[in-house]
Amino acid sequence: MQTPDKQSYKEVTLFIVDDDDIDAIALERALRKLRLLNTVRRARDGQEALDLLRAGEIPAPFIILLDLNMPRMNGLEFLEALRIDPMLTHAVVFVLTTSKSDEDLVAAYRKHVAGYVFKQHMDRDFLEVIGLVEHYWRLVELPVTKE
Amino acid sequence: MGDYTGDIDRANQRFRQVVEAAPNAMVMVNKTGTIEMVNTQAEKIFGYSRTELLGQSIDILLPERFRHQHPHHRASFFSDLHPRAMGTGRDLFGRRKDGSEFPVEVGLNPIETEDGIKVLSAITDISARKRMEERFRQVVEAAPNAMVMVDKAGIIEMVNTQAENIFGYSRAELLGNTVDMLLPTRFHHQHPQHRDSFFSDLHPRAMGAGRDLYGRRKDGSEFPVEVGLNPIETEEGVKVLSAITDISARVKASERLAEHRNELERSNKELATFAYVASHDLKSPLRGIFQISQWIEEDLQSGDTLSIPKHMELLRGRLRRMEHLLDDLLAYSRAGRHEGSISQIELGTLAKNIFEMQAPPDGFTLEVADDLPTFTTLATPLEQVLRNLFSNAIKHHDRDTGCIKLNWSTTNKDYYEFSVTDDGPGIPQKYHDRVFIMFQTLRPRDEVEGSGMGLALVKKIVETYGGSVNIVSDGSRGSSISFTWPIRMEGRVQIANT
Repeated sequence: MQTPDKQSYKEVTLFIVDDDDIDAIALERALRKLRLLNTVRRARDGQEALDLLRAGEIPAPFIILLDLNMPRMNGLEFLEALRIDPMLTHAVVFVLTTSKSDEDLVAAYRKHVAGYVFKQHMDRDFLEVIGLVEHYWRLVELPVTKE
Repeated sequence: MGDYTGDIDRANQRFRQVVEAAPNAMVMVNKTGTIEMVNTQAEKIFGYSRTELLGQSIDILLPERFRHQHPHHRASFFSDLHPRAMGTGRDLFGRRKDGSEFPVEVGLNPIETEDGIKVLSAITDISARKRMEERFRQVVEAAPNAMVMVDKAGIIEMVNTQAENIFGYSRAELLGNTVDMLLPTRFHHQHPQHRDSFFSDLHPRAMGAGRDLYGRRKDGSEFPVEVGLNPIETEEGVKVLSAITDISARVKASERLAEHRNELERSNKELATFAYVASHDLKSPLRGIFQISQWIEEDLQSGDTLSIPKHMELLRGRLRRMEHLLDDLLAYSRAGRHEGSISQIELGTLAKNIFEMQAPPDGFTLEVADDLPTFTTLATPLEQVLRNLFSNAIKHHDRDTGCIKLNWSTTNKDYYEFSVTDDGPGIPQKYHDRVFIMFQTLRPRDEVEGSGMGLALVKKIVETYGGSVNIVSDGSRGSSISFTWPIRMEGRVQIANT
């Protein structure tokens, strides 16, 4: 879902990294409900996300919404690769996951995620999360990706 | 003249006193075997008084059964006069007045006298020593371990029944032979050196601390042993008494214990993984279903019915996925239990049947090697392995046509190696480990429906039967998954069942 840049406030791209189609649809629905017109891009696993980021396909500024359980390269492996890449290391990442495991939670924060959100009921949680992210991007100065 | 006679008398007197004072029984006989002198010790051990003995034949001090040989032995002594022990190598016995016998040792000395040559015999009652020896023998015999006594040169001098039992040799085969016969050949060259070092530092100790010791039976088979070494002082020098314990049972028990421990560790790890994935992969479709039902409700309320068929289909897809995950999880948890029975299979035919059962799309073919073996094995798990490999090859293929090949080789005498090769997209090197983890897929399930259990299941089954799985693929075109399978399944079923 791509929308033209019509908003007056600074446009932030939501980059969802999740293999589950339903999660992607849920995100779109949440945005529609909140009448947000942000650019949404999606990758189905960590490897695809890295490829898109490195190819400059994701318009900055962006916020990454990251799932943990994914094929090929999972969320934690993606964070690992992201943080050692000088071009991507300051990216803002929210983890959205079904994993309640303490190990996952600690590991994610060790990679400096902005937040770790446990998704139980997708729709309601997504609304809250998008609400949170919206406030976040309105108030917080996001890093400029260009060196 | 009188002085001369006096000298002789004095010498005689002194000689009698010496004989009398000797600690042993002393008996002097003449050439015909008549007793001419005895001492008090002789009276004591034979139970006769001096008067009863003097003038009698020496034969009265011998058991009757030896009497007929005695003149002959005596004659031979008189023909070659020098001091020596009587009857070397034979057991000698004395006979008391009451007719009872006792073991003796006899030293013979020729004495020149005026009346001609006499024989002075020194007789020792060795009953006590014989009793000790007999008691030692009984102790050795009664020991719960195999006992083997060897001399400095490694010659076996004594064994007990246990030693006969565990080595499979009879006593007669062992005595007089070198102890090397009880050792595996590969240890022979070191043994003399070890033996010498033991004899140079005599104290009881365990043999070969830190090394694994083995005994060798008569039939050539080997068994693990523990050996305790004890130096024994005997009249013929120092001997080594070794106590040998067959520890096969203990070794086997500790091996079994280690096997069980490994199995327990593996199953604990599996359980932990299971708990983790159950909370993710099994929950995910449920969340999806819950989600979609809410959307349908919302869309109905807002009158947007267009999206409903799409959502219903999505919902049914999640239900199918859930069912699929549960089925595969069950299959995984059961894998490695022995199911079905051992039967003869013709692998070529079996493979073709399995392939057809997959209902492969037109354009997909299976090529099997002409000479695939016919052998006796557990068919069910082997079928499961092939079914998963074939279905993976078909499902993950990126073209309309594809060819799957089944080949084989014998890697060693115990295992066949089979390989399933496809011409699909291949698996990049960096994912070769990941694909064997349960619930891991390389593509989103929304693109290629799959539980991610196939290769995990294959690996678990193959490893249950002692084999291994390997991937060869450069990730650009085609992959080949090979696995080893026991040529003889008998005997392994037991392991799989425990």
